[in-house]
Amino acid sequence: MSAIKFIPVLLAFVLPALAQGPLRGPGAAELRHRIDALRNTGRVLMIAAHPDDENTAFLASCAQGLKLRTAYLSLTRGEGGQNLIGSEQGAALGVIRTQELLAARRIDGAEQFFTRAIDFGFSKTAEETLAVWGRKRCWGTWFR
Amino acid sequence: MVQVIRTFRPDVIVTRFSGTPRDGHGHHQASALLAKDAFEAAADPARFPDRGRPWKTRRLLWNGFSFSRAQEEELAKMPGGLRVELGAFDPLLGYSYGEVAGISRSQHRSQAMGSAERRGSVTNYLFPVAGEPARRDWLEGIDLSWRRYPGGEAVEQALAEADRAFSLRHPERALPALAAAYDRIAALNHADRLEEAAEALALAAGLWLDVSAGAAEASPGATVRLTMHAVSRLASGVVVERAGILGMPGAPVLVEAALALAPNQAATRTADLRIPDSAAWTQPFWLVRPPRGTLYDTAGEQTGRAEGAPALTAEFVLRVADTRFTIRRPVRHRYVDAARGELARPFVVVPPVSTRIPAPSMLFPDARPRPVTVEARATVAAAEAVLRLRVPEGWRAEPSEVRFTAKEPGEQRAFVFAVTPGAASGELAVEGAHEVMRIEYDHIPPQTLQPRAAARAVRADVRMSARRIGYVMGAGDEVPAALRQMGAEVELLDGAALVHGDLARFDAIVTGVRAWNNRADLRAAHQRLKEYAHGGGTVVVQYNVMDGGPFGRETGALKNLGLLPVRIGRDRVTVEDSPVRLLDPRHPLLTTPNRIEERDFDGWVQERGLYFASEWDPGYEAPLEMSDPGEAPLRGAILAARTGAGLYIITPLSFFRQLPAGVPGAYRLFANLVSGGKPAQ
Repeated sequence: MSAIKFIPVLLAFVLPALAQGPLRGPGAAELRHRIDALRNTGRVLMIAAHPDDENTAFLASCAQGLKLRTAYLSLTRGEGGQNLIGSEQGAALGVIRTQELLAARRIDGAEQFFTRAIDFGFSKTAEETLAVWGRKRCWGTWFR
Repeated sequence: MVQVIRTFRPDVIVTRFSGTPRDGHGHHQASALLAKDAFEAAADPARFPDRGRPWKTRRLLWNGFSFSRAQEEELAKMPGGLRVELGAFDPLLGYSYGEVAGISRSQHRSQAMGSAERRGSVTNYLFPVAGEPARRDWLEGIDLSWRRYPGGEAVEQALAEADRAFSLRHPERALPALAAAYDRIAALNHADRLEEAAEALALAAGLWLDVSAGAAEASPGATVRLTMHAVSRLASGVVVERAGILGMPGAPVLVEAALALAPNQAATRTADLRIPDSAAWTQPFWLVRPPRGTLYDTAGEQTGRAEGAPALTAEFVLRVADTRFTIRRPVRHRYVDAARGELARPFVVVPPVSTRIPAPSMLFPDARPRPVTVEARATVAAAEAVLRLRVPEGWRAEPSEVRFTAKEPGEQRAFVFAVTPGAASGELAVEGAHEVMRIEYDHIPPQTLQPRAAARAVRADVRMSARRIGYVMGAGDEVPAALRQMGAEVELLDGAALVHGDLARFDAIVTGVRAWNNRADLRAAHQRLKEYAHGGGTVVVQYNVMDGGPFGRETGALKNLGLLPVRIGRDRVTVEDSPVRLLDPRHPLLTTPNRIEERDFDGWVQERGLYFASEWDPGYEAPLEMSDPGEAPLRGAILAARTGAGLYIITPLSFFRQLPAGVPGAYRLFANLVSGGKPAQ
């Protein structure tokens, strides 16, 4: 019963990562990879704070080489950083960085998740970060 | 976090950071601490029972990360580390994972994370943090086959058969075995692997399935032509049992009766979709509601997802022999560009009228009314909207409302409201329509946001003596608009203007954020800027990123940034309300034309400044001091050097954030810098 309950969520999660990546066309080599990947039931999740913190060599080695279901969970969408290619800041920058992560995942073959936390800008200590995000609150809402 | 772990159900969680000050950024440290908490909480049935079945991840590892070569060597010597090879060559890809990593990482263009593609062996270390120990292999003790599940042997057998039947020249030969595997995975209730199995079936059959919208965008009430193409390019015997549209009530069914696909023969169907009046506009799901503090306010089922479902999703129910499977594709507008060939854009639902206030913040330097322009643009034919301008309490806007009508899509008009300021700063917002904001870059799909059209209304006594300003745009900022708000004429300077234009006609020349990092033409013109200052001009240099960064690679880009020697470091003041000391309250830059007081540093956003100078020539005057709590005071917030009759100023203060956010004190201080501390006429 409880297994069924989560099906819609899981299907929705999987969709973006299954989009075609640009390194391999939808040909026989891609099917070769998909059959191998389907035979593997292992899963690995990398966790860090921002877009660009992820180790793309590790993600690519796991997803393409070891054929594991591989995902990166970024706490934030990177909206507190500086935009080096345009004038978007804040929420609009978070939208760009979300799409940049998805573009990166189409290449290395991993999936992408986020929490609800907003990148409030550079922080020098974990104490300040946890105080701003509110660790208790994380447990109540963000962790859900 | 717990929900992501319980739905993704990883065998291993790997953190990128250690949770200690070694990680630098506080967010980095926090990510590792929170990951360990979530690793434990996800396994505990007593915690968050409404957020999925508990999931026990086998082990938690730390993927040692080095900011420097010294840290790298230190990692190699740390006990308990499990070596992993990340540089293997993949013959199916034609790339090694070090190369894939570089291409993937280089997608982070907005962070300038362009990375080398590494060839040859790449060694990393994984350190066990919690859970089951691992001595030789980070995956040891984990069954990676379907045999780990009861009944999984049947799936494994079908996939082994698919493996045998597959041939590079005839991938379709794997189709029957893949169909059997699909049925067996479905029977085991492994719903989250079914989509992968369906995509494998589609690849084996060479299926092309697509629904294209006749336009890239439409508004509620409009009708869009949908065109379906289905081609089975390799296999015979594929049947489309049904094709329809998800995500929109009343959407047409494209295939109702079973449609057998003849090999490599395209089947086409069309239908018209009327977008319901109640249809939601397309926008990122986490931006629909305003955030709560530092967390997005999203509904439970979307939590964790990278992006929302497309506005329209095509759903194909297919059959191969007795196996029925489903494939979904986003509905896109597919078109041929004469120069670039076939392209596709996501189909989006937009409101009929888009409106915006072009200036992100409007300055009211005195009590007199000022004109505020509101632009309106039709996104569809026969668009109509009544627009009102909401003003802060005690403010007035005339007229009370305007009516926008347009016959053709794309028609636009500007309306001018006369706004009389009240005592306190606040927000101007358009009521009656939202802004349709488009984000277009080559490396990501186009994005559509639908924010409220709003601007900060800043009531501050700001005087500025500079009238004509030359601006050298760097990476991109909205400072020129703010300078225009303060009454200046602003001209953007290109390379030619810097090399041989008449600079003497400017009262000030301001370099935009990271202009010295990004613009060779500015660096080449440094001598002319110095001569311009010597002749009586004012130069204001906004922040630039420290040259070199954590991994070395000094480029010399900032060598000539100062009038006198200066070295840009990595210091920041990140606490936006940290105290500021006026070391020299009588310094012209703090008195003229605006007298700066401590309250001018109230209400700043996100930070004070970034990339403060670490060393500078004693010839610079430094009238301000600030620091984050508990840190040594920094004096580089304003560095001013006199030369001839002019002034050359370097400031890492984040005016590029404060001015669009409408911080009154930032306007007053920036006006002084640009005025070179000269009184207003």
